[in-house]
Amino acid sequence: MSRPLVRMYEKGGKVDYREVRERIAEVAETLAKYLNEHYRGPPGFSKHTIMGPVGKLIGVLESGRFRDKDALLGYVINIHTNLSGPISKEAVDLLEKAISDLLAIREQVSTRTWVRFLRELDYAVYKHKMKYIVEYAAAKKAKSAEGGE
Amino acid sequence: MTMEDLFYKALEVGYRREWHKLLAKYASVPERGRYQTLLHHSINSALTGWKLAKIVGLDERYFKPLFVGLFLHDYMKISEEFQRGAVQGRSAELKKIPYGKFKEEFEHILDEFSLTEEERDLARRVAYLNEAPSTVHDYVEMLHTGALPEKLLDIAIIADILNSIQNYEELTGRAAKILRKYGLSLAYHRVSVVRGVATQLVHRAIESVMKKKGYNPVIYLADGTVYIGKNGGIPNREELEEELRHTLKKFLESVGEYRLGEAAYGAINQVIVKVPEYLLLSDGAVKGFWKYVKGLKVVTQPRIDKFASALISDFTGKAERESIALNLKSIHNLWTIFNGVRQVFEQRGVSQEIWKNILMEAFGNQNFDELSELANTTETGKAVKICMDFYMSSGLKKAEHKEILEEMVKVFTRATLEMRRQIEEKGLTKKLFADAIEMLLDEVVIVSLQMGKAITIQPERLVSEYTEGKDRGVPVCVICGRKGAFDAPASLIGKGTESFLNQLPAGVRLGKGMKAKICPICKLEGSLRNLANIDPERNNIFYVFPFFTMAPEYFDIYWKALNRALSSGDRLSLVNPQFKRKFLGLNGNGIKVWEIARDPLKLHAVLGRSEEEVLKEIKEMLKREYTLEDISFEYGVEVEDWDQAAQLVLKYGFGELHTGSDYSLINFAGNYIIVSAPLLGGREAEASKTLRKLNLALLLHLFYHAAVYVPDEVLTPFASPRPLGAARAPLKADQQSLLSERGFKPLRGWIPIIKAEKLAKILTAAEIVQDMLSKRGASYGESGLLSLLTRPPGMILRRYVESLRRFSSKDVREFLKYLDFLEVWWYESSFS
Repeated sequence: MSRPLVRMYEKGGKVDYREVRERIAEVAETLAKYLNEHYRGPPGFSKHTIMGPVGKLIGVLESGRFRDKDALLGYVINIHTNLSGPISKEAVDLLEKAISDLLAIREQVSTRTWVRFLRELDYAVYKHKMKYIVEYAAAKKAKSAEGGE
Repeated sequence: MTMEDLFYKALEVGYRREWHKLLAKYASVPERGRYQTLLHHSINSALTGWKLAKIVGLDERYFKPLFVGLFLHDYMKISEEFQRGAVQGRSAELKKIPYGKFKEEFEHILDEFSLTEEERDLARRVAYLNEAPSTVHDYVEMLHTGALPEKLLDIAIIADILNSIQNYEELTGRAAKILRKYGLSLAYHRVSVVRGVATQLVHRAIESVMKKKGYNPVIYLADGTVYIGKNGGIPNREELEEELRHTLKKFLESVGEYRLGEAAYGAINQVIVKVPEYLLLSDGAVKGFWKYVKGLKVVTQPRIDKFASALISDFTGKAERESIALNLKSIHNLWTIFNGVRQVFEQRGVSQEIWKNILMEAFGNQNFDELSELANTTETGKAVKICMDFYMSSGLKKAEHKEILEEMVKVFTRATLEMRRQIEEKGLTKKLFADAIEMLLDEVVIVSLQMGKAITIQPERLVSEYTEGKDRGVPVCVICGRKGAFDAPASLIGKGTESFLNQLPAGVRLGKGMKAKICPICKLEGSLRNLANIDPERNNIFYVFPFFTMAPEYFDIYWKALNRALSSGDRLSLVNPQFKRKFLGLNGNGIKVWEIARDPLKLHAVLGRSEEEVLKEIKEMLKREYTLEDISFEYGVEVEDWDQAAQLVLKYGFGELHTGSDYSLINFAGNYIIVSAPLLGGREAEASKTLRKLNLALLLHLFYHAAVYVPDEVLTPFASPRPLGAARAPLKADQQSLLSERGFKPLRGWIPIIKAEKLAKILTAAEIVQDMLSKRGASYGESGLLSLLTRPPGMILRRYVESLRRFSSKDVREFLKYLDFLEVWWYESSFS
């Protein structure tokens, strides 16, 4: 019998990925809500500009630079303040909720899966935000056609 | 209400309630089972009932309630419990008689058929009583339902049984016993291999002979037909052979002279006459062949560089030199083609004197031995000399280039016609494709179930061939494995005929002399496909099958009508992105397929074409492919002009073979339709192309409401077709696992019926997204579609946004509309 060269172990017990995915989708919505309603960064349509502090947050989660919730929250608030001015309480609440959920998910899944989920989250938030932008533009156009502002 | 009106009413009722996505039959064991939708089973049982009622001689006042009752006989299969089990291939307890909210809906459906009170009551009883009760609820309800006339009940039972069989052996059961009461018996024919067009002709020929013997076809399967008749006799082999020969000849005559001639021609640098049988068939085919040759570029505008260079010392003036070179090269090519033609006849024993006499009469005494040696590979200097001698001495010197062509083609036509007359006198034209016909019938079995005994026409010879095996060293057909008899022409079966062959002796080089072999049937199949403009290198083949069983009327009323809609366009509408969007409802409301069947113009209205434009398109299409005589022959009326011809095609469709500029529809028998479509995906990788192929198969499934089978290779024959879902394409292991991962797990390559529309929407959206990316120069390259399906939608969106020179919210919004379908694909999957 040949000996296996690599042995893989799943971290923790069996995970319901469908359920985790749903939670990731919820986090994406929370972060998109934060971006749509509370973040006014510099203008532009590059991914970097659109994602603002959320892009940075996902970056540090992926690299594992910070693992503590407060540290992560402080990091994002600092970026927000630099780019968009003072942050509101609602925005902080949204960010705190998203970070708590993400840290809980990280405990459940393997590193490999965690990185995959983060990549998915990154693009999900981007798509949400882009959708918001085009819908906002369409609504604005419709309003001006009606003789509004 | 006529049967057709009832049929369309039932179709609409079924579609509106989404019965086309529900199952009536499932396969608990895939090897022996099949999947059938509730819509298909209900409507086909109703059609079969109607036909049986006619055969048995039922009182006409029962026809309508019988139809409606059979349409609703499995109504309770809409229940969630049944559907949940059926999808997984297992049974669930099913109450046959509706109750509660089901009962209310059942009565609503009855309302839609405008029945009288008496008819309504009868329809209800047919629906309730055609099966034995399986639950206490049913038993009690049935006791209160009231009885049905025996004949009516018997018909209702048999119609359901015939539409529920899983194999031919089941025909020996209850249905046969009941039919015996009425002096009727069941019979069936079956082919062991489905090859394509040739098999369709076999089905048609057998059905025709069986009808002559008093049998009526009642059920079509892809590989056979079930009949009911009073007569117990079945046709013998000679009768079948005669009928098949007649069917084949009739088909060949029906395609038109020009097309026969066109199909007979191979290529100047390959086999010149690739299907010699077509040339031997009729004088018309010979004329068609030369008419086609006269228009070939190698004849009208040949490449003259080499000839012009060879003439440089004789003619100093460039214009004169090129003019002479053009004449000589045309003469060379015409002689090369004629040499290919005369060889066909000489190989069949026609003397050289025949053509020499005719040519001598026209061109005087020439060195015919030299001229008959001219070929595409003749050395230029020698070819120029031979052609120049002919040119100078034949009286063609003073003629214009066009006149030379006219004259030579006229004389070559005359010579060919004379050679064909010799062949006819020898009686050889009657034996065309004789070997293929004989072999095709070896693959047929006809069984009469009268007295429970099976009578087959399968000869013992076949059995001995199987038990003793073939002789060592005998080449086998590279397509089907039978005994190879002919060199495989690349123009018929595709490239690769000179690639590695396992009978090559050591040290032998591949080349003209070492070609792959094919059997007579595969050669016939290739030749027939050639007539239908199916190029093995440029077309995909899709088989549109019934969901295992189907009433012939379903084919006659519905499929033929849909064929008519498709065939009134020069290009296959189903591959048009605009049509796809609308058909699948990606842009709001979808298209109702039963409305298209009733009015083909609806399909074109979707594409923004008016009736005038459609007629103009048909006219152009007809002019290109047919003569007015062909059209007159097809419709049996004297057609005076192309406008009238186009009107006829729009009204009645184009018969059994229709070819547009990029597709063909072939339906010589009702057992299945062959759709040939252009290769999709351009330079994309094979995996992406397969997904596009699968998508078209799914669209065909949704269009015809049928099972669609895409063979592994275009020409590969297959046996015992058994639909296990909506569509099947040759998916590789990685594509299968990708689909399974996303919740579309194929069963033996078949996509589940319940998922078909959803997957078609996703794949269509992916195709559209891919096109939008390509237009911006941002496509994922060769991996194309596959890349889109393996990346998060946000990532694709970013690529698109960054490809825009200037951000346009309108463009992005449009892009997002299709990308949302990919989101369904991405997020509904179970993560692995």
